[in-house]
Amino acid sequence: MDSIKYAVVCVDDDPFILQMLSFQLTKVVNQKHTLIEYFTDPSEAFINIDALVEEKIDIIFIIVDYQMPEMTGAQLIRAIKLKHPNLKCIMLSGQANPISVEELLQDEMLESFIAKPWNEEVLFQAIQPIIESLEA
Amino acid sequence: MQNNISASSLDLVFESLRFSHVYCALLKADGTIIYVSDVLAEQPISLIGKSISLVFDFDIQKDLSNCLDSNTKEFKTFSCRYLNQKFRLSLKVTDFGFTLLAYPEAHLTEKKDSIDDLKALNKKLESQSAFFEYILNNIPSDIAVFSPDHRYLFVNPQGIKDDKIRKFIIGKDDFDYCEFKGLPTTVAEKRRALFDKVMQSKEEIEWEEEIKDAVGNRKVILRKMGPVFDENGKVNFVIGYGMDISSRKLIEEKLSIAKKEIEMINLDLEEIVIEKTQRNLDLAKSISEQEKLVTIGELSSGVAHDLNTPIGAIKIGAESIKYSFENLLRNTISECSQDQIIKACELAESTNRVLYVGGLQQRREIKEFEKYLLDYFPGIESSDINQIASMLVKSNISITDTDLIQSIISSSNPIAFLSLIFNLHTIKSFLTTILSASERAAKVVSDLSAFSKDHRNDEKSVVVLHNNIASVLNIFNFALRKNVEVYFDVDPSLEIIGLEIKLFQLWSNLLKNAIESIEETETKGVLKIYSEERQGAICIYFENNGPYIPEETQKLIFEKFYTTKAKKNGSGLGLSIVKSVLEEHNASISLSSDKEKTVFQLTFTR
Repeated sequence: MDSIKYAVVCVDDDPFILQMLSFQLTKVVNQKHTLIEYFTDPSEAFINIDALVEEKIDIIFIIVDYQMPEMTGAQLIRAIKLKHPNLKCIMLSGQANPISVEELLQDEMLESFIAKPWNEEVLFQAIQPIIESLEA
Repeated sequence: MQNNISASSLDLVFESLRFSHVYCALLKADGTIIYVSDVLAEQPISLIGKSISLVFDFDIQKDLSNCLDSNTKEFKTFSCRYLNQKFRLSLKVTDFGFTLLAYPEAHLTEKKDSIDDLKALNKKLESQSAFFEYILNNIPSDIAVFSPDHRYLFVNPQGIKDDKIRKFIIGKDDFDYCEFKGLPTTVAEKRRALFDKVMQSKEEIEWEEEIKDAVGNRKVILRKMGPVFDENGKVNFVIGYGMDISSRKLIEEKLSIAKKEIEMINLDLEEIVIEKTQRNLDLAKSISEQEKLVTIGELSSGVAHDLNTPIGAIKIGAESIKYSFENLLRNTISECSQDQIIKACELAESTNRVLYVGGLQQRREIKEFEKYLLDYFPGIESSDINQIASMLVKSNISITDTDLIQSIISSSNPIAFLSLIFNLHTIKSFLTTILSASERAAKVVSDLSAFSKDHRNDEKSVVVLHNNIASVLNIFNFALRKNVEVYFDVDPSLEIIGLEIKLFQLWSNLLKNAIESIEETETKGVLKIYSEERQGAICIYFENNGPYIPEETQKLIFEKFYTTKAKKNGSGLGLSIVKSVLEEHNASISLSSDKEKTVFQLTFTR
């Protein structure tokens, strides 16, 4: 556990999506020092992000779906950004409300937006710079 | 004076008195009028028998006794007003009462210079006659006066402008005029006929005459001709007059043209209205088509979303299987024994599918395995412990499955064997994913095709309400998942005879309505769909916690085009479609709403 410094967080209410992300992320994320966490419940994700930060684990980025029960991805991102303004957020969605996404982008709360269904390459293009900046 | 003086001889006396401007009355002692000359009263006859105090403003009993000269038995003369004129009254006692003589005071003074007055009067008359003549000569109407034998007695200059002819015509008729002017007698004959008509009917007649004036402009003259009677009711003369009504006529004609135009416009308008109505009907139809399109649009976006996920899962599944397969073929499989391959296949077969494992949990499990391995298999190289532990975890091998762990670790190639197990496990897991994802996709498609199939010619069939509603719920899943909690509790045994597709429309409209209502509230949406059997009827309830619907709105809500959701793309047809579908199914809908919830109750009678 001591070697763990970083974490990646994925939030989507659809387990299929998390499985896909899991498969794709394990290809590019070095799991020796990086945890990949998956949550179907946004509020659970929110609590666990706090827990990770408390454990001094640096969250590299989070990937959030837009349409979820309880709260939208936009609401979750705003809530997270309020507490952790430097956390990098990526939205992954097929049903996002364009207005709230636009607002998020304007407020500089989104690193990138990936539309579902997505290609592995698109995801990698979005997260590679973040990972590289970390390793440098 | 004697009592037996006849009334007619009294008349004569009073008539002569009148010429000397003296008016008189004979009164009884109590002031009752026996006779009164006509000047003193407008209706002298009606005053007979009444009190003189009705005529002059005095009380015979009181006022007159004050004025009575006790010596001469005569009254002093005194002034009195009557009809705004001052009179000097003189009363004499007679054997039947009083004789009252009244002199208008104004006249008394006038009489002094009566000759001057006459001159003045004459002058006045002359000026009056000049005034009337002026009027007659200048009035913008033709005026002619005829004798009963249709000869001109008078024509004003408007009637005949030429002075000579005007003078000539007096005492002559229209035939003379025609002869004088050398004109055919048709006009004269026509006028004679009209004149005869007046003489016969003894009533005024009127007609219009069209002529051309000196400059050739068309003129319309309204002519009237009427008799003037003498005191015996005989026609004394006939007055004819004409008025130029050209401008009026022009206006009338313009009006009539305008009226015709308006009628035409009205006709056009009617056509336009009919056309517009038709267009509105078409529009209504197309709106209802649009409504369908909107629904299709909503559906397709929902379907796209619902299909994207399973398709994505299938794609990733296929990729990951390919990846795992390559791993197997490249390294692992060649290093493993037949038995190991069989064992790994068995494991993959029996394993529970794990879609993903969170990093922390994985770490924890790996840590546990590391400890376990260190405790039970001290022979393992410390550099391999972490890799083996992590592969055990990823392969979903439980720490309690000691036999399996024993067999893996004690084999000659534990890492290759674990890799085989892991890859086969992954392949199995993603195969399961692909399977369930394709099932999910197939379900979406089948729901959609049930929804969109053309059922127009379909005959009614048995519909299981639970399944029918569930199909629609699946279609709307994308919208419902957003922020609505759905309780679905419809008895699966309930059946009706109906049209599946129409019922889909019914539920989807109710669902759409509920979702839109819920979106208006701040709180989390709750939608309850449940059933009840009541006296042979089936009731389906759609209950939502959306905002209260005011009673006025409740009445309108099933009207076509009624919508409160202006911002949405609602055309207001939704609930009216609901109503029409219900009618087709011999069902009814009722609505109750309060602050907590809004409930649509649908009752299907069998």
